[in-house]
Amino acid sequence: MRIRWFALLLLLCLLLTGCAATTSGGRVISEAEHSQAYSAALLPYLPGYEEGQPRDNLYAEVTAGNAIICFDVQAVPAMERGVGKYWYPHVLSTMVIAVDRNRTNAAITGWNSLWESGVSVGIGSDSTIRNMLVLGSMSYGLNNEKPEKEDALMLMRHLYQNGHFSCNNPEAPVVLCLDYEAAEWNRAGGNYEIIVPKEGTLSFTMGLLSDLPLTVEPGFNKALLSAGFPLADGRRPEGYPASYKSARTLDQRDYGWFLNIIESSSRDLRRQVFHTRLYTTADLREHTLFAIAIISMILMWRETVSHRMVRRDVRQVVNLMGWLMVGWLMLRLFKYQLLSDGLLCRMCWYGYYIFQLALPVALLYLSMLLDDPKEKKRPRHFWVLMGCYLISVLLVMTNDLHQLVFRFEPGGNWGKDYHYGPGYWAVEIMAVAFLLLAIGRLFHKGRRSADWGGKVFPLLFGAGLLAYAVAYIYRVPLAWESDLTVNVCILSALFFETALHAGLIPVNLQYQRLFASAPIGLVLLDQEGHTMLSSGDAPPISRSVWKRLLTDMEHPLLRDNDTEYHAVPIHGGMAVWREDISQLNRLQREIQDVQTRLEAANALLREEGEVKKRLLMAETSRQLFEQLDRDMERRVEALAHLIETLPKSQEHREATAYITLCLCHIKRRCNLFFLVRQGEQLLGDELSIYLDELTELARYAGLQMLICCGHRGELDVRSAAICYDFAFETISWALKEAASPLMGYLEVEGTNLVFRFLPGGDPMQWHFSQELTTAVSALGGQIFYKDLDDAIGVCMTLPMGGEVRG
Amino acid sequence: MINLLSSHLEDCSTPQYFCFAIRCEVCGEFWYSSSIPFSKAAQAAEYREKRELYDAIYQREKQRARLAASKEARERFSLCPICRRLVCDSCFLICDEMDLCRECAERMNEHGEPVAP
Repeated sequence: MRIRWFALLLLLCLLLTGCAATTSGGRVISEAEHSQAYSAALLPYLPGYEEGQPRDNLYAEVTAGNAIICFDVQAVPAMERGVGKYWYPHVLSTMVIAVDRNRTNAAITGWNSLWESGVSVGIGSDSTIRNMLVLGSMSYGLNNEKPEKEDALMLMRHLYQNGHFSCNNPEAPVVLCLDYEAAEWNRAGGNYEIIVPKEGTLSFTMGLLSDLPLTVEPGFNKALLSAGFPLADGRRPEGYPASYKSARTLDQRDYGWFLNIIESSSRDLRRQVFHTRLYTTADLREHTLFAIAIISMILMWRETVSHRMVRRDVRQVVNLMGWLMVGWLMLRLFKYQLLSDGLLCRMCWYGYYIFQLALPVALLYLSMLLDDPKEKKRPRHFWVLMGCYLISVLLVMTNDLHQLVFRFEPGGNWGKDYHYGPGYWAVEIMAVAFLLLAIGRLFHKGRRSADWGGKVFPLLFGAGLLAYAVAYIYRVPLAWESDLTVNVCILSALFFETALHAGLIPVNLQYQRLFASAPIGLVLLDQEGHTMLSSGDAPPISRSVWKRLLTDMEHPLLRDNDTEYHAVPIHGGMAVWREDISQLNRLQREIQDVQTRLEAANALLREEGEVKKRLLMAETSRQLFEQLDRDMERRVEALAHLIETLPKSQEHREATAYITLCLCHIKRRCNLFFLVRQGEQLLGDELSIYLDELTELARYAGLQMLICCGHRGELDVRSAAICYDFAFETISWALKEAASPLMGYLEVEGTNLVFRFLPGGDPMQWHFSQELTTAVSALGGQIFYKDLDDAIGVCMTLPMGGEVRG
Repeated sequence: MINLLSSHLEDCSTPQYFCFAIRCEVCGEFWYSSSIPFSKAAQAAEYREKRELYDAIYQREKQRARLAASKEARERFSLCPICRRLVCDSCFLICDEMDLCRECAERMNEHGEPVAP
């Protein structure tokens, strides 16, 4: 980007300033035609000044302090624009028709006599000022009242079409020149008749224009007359026509129409008289403006091509080709600014080939790059190409030393009078070979492309480029009179562009359309937040969203409740895409709904559980009490029976004690019932207290007894309950059978709990309840009687831990 | 209006910057205020006292940023006189008789141009 701006700036500098020369004073510089004799006559009378060559245009030279030899039509308008303060007219020159009477006897008296004279007419040189003076004088002569250049151009066109008119031809029998030139030719031995056209002609004053006052020493007018110049006051030496009646000397009022007539005189002569340069630039202004326009177009084209290129290395080559064309045009522009055809001008001409020869090399290099689908450092033959190119450029640039490329006379008009040497053909053949090879490779690579119609255009432009180059080399007028640089650049650009469109060089032409069609919701923004590319379904990014994303790209951003923006930084901006989060939102909502429903269900279940728990507790309690009732039913019934029979009992005290004993048993048995349900352990000490309680009550009932509990540790509560029941039933039978005294002992033997009773009577008739025996059997124990010779004991064994059977 | 906007602002701030959003109640799109960096975002608070100080500064700057965001939002949001909803400039129409939100304008068959097309 910077390089492009620099190039444009340089271009403008060249356009506006030209080639500024270093300022120097004290030089007399000629801007007038054929003024060497005048300059030679002047210098002795103008001390402090020496003759110099123009380094810049008239205006710059005057500003630099030099004295300029020029005509009044140059000096007066310049002074009106503030260039030059002092004008010193010395010589009065008149545009005349000089007829070489050694070569023609045609009767020529004025401009109109040229129509039918049938004699070749020439202009002394092809300089711009000469064209201006001739055109202005002839226009005035053909129409004194209202001079128009069309009249003069028509006359010249007529002469040219009949083969009787040419520029830069002082050898013609009839020459349109200034009178002092013809007089000089006559003094040199010529036989020219100096004809002041009878219809009218113009006289121009030649003199000195300067920013500084000049002091011309006395005697200068005499010297001018001696040198053969007519003086500004009308005095003329011998050899001039006697009458100048029809000649008009321009005054202040005449410069306006005169300048209007002579404007673009060179261009008009070329186009309207010689019919050349019809389709190309014809004068310096057109050269400059057209070059700027072409440079601008190439820069823009290069930019578009660069954007379309997929590969970086190919893009670099394309950029290089664009810059080569721009460089070539700029060098050409620079060359046009040079006033003299010196060494610098010639080096610029050679310099064209730096760019011209590089173009086919770059194209061939590009075709080599395309061989490899991946970006590599350099193709294999890169250095061969570079070597050929460098040798070619070196050969051209050193042409002044060997003249192998261009052959011309060093002091002559080398710009036009030159011939091609063997070096030129070698260089051109190599360039054409590179170009053909590059085109061939491109077409070979693009042979699979179905767009055969599109391939015609690059082929046409390639062939046109070659044909134009050949025609230019062989100086075919149409090509030779055109601008080689501009035409080659345009044809090259057209060839390249059509090659891109034909698919010979891969580009991303449809990239934007693809991007716009892709349903990716992606937007590319530049550094200012402007949308550069946007897929079709992507919404525009608002300024506020862009600014927020610019601050923080890591966190996504909500566009609305169901859309989220994501962004990543890219070169020169950011890429923003949107993601549809409606599905996520829907899932989240569903999860929230499910969670709410689950919480409600859980609350319901919790409440149901509480209710069930309460019901279960009530049911368990009921079942427990029912079971308790069943357990205690028999005992309670027996107790009720005892209580009923108590009033009838004779042994009232013993019966009451027995009832108390039963009550105690029921109470403790209830305790043990609940302990069994709780599954807790019972200490031997606690059981011992229970047994002691029974023992105490049995004593009240009249039974002498003692129960000793030899186990102090924990007991299974079921075993303890069975032991307690066993003790109660044994006591009951002992009371019933009066088997006093009764002794009981509870101990642990091995793995069994053994509860022995030794009653005072025969226990063989005692029958323990079915409920007790079943419970003992269920725990793996047994109740048995043991004969002890003088007594019979009752013994119950239970395994420790209480194994349940069945 | 400022108070109303301030009450609708959604906090999108981070420890590094302050940013607030308002959702247009018609189109549903969020508008985001200009992000204002926290002045101490780049400085680490090593000590508890300093952290507390930074927290206080953060809250104070956040209040200022909220006020600035409200003022900024005032330029882009309007209150529909019919439905009393906050709507963005794209959804707020300038009609002949009364400026309305797009939905109210449709209901009332009014035609107008959006403030920001």
